[in-house]
Amino acid sequence: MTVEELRIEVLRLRDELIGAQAEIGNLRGRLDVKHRNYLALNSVHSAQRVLRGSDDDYVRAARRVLGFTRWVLLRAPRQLARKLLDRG
Amino acid sequence: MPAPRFSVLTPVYNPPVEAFEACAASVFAQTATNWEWVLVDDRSTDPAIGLLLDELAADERVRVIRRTENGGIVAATNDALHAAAGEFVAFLDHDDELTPDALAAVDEVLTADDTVDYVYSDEEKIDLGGTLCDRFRKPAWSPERLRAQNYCCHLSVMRRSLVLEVGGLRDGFDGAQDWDLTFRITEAARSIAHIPHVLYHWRMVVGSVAADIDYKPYALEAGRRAVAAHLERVGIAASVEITEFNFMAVRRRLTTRPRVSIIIPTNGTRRRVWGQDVALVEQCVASIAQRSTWDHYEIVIVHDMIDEQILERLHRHAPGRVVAVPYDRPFNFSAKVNLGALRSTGDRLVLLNDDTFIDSPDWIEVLAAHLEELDVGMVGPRLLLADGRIQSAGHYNRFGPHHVAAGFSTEEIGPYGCLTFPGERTGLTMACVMMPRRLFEEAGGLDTKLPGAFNDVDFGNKLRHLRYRLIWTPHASVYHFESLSRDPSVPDSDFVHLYQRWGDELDAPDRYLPWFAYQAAGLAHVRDEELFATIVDSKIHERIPGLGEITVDMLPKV
Repeated sequence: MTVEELRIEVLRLRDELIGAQAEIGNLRGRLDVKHRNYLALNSVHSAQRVLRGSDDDYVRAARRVLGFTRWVLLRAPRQLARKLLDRG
Repeated sequence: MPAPRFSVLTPVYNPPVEAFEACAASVFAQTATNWEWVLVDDRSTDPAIGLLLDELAADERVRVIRRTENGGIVAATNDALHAAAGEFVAFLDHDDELTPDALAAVDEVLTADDTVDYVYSDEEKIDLGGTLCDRFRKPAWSPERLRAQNYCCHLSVMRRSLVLEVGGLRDGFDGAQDWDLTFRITEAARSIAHIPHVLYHWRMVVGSVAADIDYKPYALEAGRRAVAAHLERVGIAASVEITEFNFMAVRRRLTTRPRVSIIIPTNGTRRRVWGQDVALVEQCVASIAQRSTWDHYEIVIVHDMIDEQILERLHRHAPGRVVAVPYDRPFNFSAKVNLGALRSTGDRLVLLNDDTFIDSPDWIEVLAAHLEELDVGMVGPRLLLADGRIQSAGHYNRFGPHHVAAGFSTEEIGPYGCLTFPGERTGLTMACVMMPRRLFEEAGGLDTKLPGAFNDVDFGNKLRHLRYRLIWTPHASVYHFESLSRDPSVPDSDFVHLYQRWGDELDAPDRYLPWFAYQAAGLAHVRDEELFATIVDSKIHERIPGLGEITVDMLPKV
């Protein structure tokens, strides 16, 4: 992966991060109050802190976010939201 | 006895008796109970008013203060302010009326958030025949708009301690004393709330500002000075002029010299524009080079292997400024812009479509000056169609994104003059926008899952999600020959993707230009909000697939 490709990947992940936040906010507003769970949003906030801490080093940021963070960011909150929606 | 929540402040000077009686009735009709009413008689000469004040003073919730000499509205209001005991002060003119739920509605907002120091509401006028008219659906907190127009006005409720801290109303601003106070309060307030419901009825009487601002020309000059004083306090370098429509035109001066990167994605399309067959990108670059007065810029052309001759001509039009970036993947406007941004070197990015033509020579200076305010995330100019009508004055939301004022003549001032001055917008058309590079990166660039349409809507929402303001300005114009260079149709998948992210935001009444949602549906004068929502909802659901409740099936499969 070239540095430019990594920078594009970081852009994409930042986009996904904000998109996931917005999506979860959207879903959260539609869930019944008793089923609201802020864990999903908290995961996103934690990942955001990781991203913010590495603004000036694209390569390091890309390596960090490409692994575990991607899962936390994208997969876990959506799975949780889907479960909550399924439940009612 | 505990202090009341609200002190309603009313300076009184010879109001029409019937109007004053209606004003009093509206105060006593409040559903809230924790208020006092402080009236200051500025030496009215009408004996009937004196008698009425005596009657009102009999109520234990009312205090009447009588001045020994006529001092004008500033002095009388300040007397009321200093006599007030309430936690918040609400300003009520002697011939106007509160709606019965006014103080209760404000109390609800203040109880929900104890950091709110200033609340304003929508307002409606009472015409000379006593009929309600001219409903002003106001924007959410819009500091840029406030510099052109005192849109907050009535009803305004402020934390009393803060009003005292900033020195109350000031002498020398008669006629615009409330505007001047609003500036000083909002500069100091921790948070500001807008209640999008009419809580105040402003009576039009001959000689009042409600009827015609031209009756009080001194008020305009006082307003101009209030805006200039505010700009000086907050450190914005600008001059202020009164416009022909009686708003304020703030002309900013750029105090820095940023390097600007103009990013133009193109595939070298040729089209007929203004009777001539042209390569769109060539015409666009030539207009930048020939018309722009700013000289510290580069032009980054992201191209799909276009004709070498065109590239050569671009270099000739703008010698030493053109950076050509080849792009060899399937069409994706967002990916092209992202690539161009990464290859650029400026600290201000302009995203410009190739089907544009620069009209205002100082367009870069006008746009860049707004970005000197650190909470401004993106700025866009007035976009014009080839025939000179407006193509876009930004975006508004209501059951989806729409162009503001599309097809309007540039002679039209728009509702409450909103097309004549810069103001906050929910979104901006990315045919031409400027933003700081750091924000482009912070927001993750354009979403490559939106290869053609809506990437601008999405990006604007991302910036607002990050708490930045988007500003549209009519002080710079760019022609946009919309969608000449590509297919304008939008696949359903783009709608679905956009709605997954921003559904609630896109459906809600627009925060900054709610009037357009009503106007677009041909229902500008509908007073029943629920009826309006029902009608528009049914219209839109017929048109847009994938809209409505988000279901599990709509979630992306990861």
